[in-house]
Amino acid sequence: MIEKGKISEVQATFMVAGFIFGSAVLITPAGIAGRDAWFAETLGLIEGMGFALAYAQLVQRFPGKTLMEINEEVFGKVFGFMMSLFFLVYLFHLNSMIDTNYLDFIKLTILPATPAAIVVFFGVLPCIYTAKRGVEVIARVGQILFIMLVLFISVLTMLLVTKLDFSNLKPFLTTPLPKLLWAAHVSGNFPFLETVSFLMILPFMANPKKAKPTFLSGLAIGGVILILIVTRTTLLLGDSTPMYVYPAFHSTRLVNLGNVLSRLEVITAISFLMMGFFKMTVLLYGTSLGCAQLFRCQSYQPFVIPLGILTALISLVNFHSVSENLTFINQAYPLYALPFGIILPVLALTVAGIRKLPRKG
Amino acid sequence: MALMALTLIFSALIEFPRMIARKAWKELSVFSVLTILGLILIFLISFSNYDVPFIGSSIARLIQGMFPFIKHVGQ
Repeated sequence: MIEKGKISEVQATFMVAGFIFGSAVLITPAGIAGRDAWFAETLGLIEGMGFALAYAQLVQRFPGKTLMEINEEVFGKVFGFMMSLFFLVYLFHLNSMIDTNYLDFIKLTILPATPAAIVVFFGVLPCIYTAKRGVEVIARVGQILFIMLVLFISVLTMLLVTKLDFSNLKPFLTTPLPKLLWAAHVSGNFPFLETVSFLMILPFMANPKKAKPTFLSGLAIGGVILILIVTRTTLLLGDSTPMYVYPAFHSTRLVNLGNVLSRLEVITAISFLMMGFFKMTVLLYGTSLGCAQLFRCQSYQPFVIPLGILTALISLVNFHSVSENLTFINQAYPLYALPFGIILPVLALTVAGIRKLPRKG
Repeated sequence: MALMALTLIFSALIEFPRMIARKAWKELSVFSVLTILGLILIFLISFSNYDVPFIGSSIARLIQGMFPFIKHVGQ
C-alpha cells in the first residue's frame, strides 16, 4: 500500500466540512438566485447528500480501496485505466480552478500589484509541503483549521448581529423556478459534488465501515455553515449582493464597533485562504496518490512537487478574467463536473452490483 | 516563473538519485514526464507573455455552444 496513514472518523468529518467550505464561500455559487440564495443553497445541500450517499456506498463496498483501485477491479485493466485517467484529469483541473479562484481573490482584494505567478507559486508551496507529509498530517491540519474557521465566523457574526436586516429576505421565493433550480444545482455541484475527491481519502479511515455517517455528517456540518454564511450575507447586503464578486468578504466590511474595531475583513480573508489551502492540499494529495496508483508506482511523494507546479501553471492560464471564471462556475461547471462527479461513481457502483464485486476469498 | 522552473529542476536533482537507487523506473519515467511538461509550460507561458488558449474559458465556450439554454438560467 502506497499510503500507510490512517485517519479517525472525527478527522474525516472535519476534513469533509472544511473541504466544502473552501472556495465555495468565496464565490457563493447560489448567488444567482439573489435573495433566495439561502434556499437554493439548502436545495444544493440536499442534492449533494444524494451524491455523498453514492460515494460513501462505494467506500463501504470496497474498504481500503481508492477510486483508482476500484475502477480497475470493476471495469477491468484497460477500461478502468481510462476511467481513472479521466478522473485524475478532473481532480487536477479542479485543483487548478480552485487555485485560480484564490489567485483572483488575492489579486483583486489584497495584493493587486503582485505578479500572478508569484501569488500562485507561494500559494501552492504550503500545499506541496503538506501533501508530501501524507494523509494523517492533512487530517490534523484540517481539524485545526476548521476549528479556527468556526471561531472566526462566530466572532464576526456576533459583531455583525446589529446590522442584520431580516426584511432583506423578503419577498420570499420570487426567483423564477428554473433559475432557482439551476442555482440549487450549481451549488450542489460546487462544492458538494467536488467531495468525490474524498474517494481518494476516505479509504484511509481507520474504520471504513463508518464512511457513510462520517461523510454525511461532514457534508451536513460544512453545508449548514455555508448556508448560514450565505444567509448572513443576504441579510447584510440585501439586493446589492449579486453586485459583488466576493459578497461574503465585502459583507464583513460592515463591522464597525465605535470606530475602534473596524476593517475586520482581513479575518475573513485569512479564513478563506486557510480553507482554500486545505482544499488545494486535499486535491493535490488525491491527484498525486491517484497518479502513483494508476502507474503502479511505489510512492506518490515524488509526484507532489511537479503536479503542484503544474497546477500553479494551469491556474495562470485558466480564465481571461474573473467574470469569465464566474460564468464558467454558474453556467458550464454543473455540466462539466457531471461525468466525473455523478456518472463515474454511480456507474462503478452499478457495475459492482451487477458483477457482485468485491468477490470474497 | 523562474522560481517555478528552479523548483522543478531542484526537485528533479533530489529525486532522480533516490529513484535510481531504489530502481523505481516507473516512478522515474512518470516524474520525468511531469517535470518536462512543467518546464515546457513555463517556457510557453513566459515566451508567449500569457498569449495562450485559456483552458477554462475554452471549456466554458464549448459547453455553452452545446447547451445554449444554460446562458439564460445561469445569469
